[in-house]
Amino acid sequence: MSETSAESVIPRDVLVRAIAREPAALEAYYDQVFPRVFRVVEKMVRQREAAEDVCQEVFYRIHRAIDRLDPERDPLPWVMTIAMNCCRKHWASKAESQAKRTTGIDDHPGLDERIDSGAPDPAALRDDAAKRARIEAALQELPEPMRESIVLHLYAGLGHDEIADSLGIGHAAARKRYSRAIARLGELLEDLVP
Amino acid sequence: MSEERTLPPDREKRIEAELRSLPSPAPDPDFQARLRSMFAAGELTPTLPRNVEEDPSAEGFFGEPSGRTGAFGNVTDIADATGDGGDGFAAGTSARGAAGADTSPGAAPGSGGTTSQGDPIPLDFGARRTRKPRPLWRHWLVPAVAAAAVLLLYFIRPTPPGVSGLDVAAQGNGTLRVGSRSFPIAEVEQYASLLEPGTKLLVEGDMSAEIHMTVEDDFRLVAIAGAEFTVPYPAKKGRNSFQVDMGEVRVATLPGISGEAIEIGAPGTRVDVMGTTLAVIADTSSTCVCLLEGTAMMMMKNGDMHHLDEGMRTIMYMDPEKPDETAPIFGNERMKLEMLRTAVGPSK
Repeated sequence: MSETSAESVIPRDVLVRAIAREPAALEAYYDQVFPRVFRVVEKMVRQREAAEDVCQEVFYRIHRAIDRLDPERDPLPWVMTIAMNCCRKHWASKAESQAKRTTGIDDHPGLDERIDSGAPDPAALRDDAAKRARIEAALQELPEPMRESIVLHLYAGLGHDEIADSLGIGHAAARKRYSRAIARLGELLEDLVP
Repeated sequence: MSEERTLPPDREKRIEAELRSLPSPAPDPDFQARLRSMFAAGELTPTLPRNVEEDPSAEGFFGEPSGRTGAFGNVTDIADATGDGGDGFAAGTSARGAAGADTSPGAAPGSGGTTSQGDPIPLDFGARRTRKPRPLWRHWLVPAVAAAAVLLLYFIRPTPPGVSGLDVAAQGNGTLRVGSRSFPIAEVEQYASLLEPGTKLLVEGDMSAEIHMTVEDDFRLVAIAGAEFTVPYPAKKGRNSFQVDMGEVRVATLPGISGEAIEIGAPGTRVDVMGTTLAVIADTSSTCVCLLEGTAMMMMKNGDMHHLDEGMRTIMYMDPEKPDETAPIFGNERMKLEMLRTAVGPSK
């Protein structure tokens, strides 16, 4: 796992108090969880505004259900389960089809700064941006279960066991799905990442 | 069990590194702060339409309200208690919408606040979208077209409503659990449309309860009472595959099967099937594969794929210390597999 699990950074007593919906504990809980939730949701829905909407839904649901959270278990897979459900729900809503029609400046990190500074777009930057765009496009091209697997592992820092729990599949299936997703990306990016 | 890798490890690492290096736009700090305070105060409202959750096909496994959800029973009922049954957009406050709003402690929850010039900002609700009133004709046209489409589908569909490429039949006394819902197993019309690939199913009832699924012209599976498994993914969605988590599922391939193996996931192992008749029996301590005829491979504890012998059953125990066993198939199991093969005809 690339990042430390939330289990190690949210003390149990904070979890217990968060479950009791104590505001200070909820804020501490939020501080630990929000960055990963946002990162994962942004990678799934690909638009900052949409990601913010989905994040609000995620925390709304967390707040509603937090009294059912088991303080003895790592809360991150549970949170990611909710996040993935919200992403699917977002896709199922009209908001997704409307959002697909346009992309905002916020969806191109660094672009606004370049415009503001009037700096030319150097070839290196362009190449780099083109490469990133290819990788992003390849990631988006993956079937949803594969993309979830990649996003949960690389951006949420979940292990395969936790992904299995989060997606309701077996451990072996989670590992296999991840391997296949990487292999598929390898095919799509054959020339770019040889 | 060794990790399955389909790319050289160094290339996999390079791809992972490229993915990790992708930039992520930072959230708006104002949004982040407002969401934080509203979360702590319990003032958040939903931002996604409610009506999507009312679609039974969007339900997860055993009670989770939307989409696929995992082993977290406590996710149940999270989203279905918003109380707004209308168009799905709850009136309330958005952490994102009221940028520039007065967030001072004195401001009323949900207030739009004021601008720096003191102008009031309108109340901003979760959806941030206002709907134009529909033209009158649309009130009638849309339902009429929808009704016509439903009727048309009803009359032109030769089989009960269901998922394309999947034929379902059932028999016996029992129920089939599809997500959080239970159906009499014999009433296929009631649940056929919910059987999306990957959906978890549980067959409950006496030993007469069976569900038969024919996946395109590739294979047929028979799940008996006690079987907990997933609806197969057809080959056109990548590869024939499904999961057996508990109980017994029998499989017989059909003449149309492509050269690619059917992949059956089971606790602690995986079985690749090519033109064969077999049964996968899983319980909490072991997974057993009974191969009547044909070719099948089973992943062993060390991660190697092991060719199974016809007429034999191979048992792999979850206990890493307990050696795998191979023995002739029991007569009763052989008879059931032979009956299945007879029912579906020769594999080629």
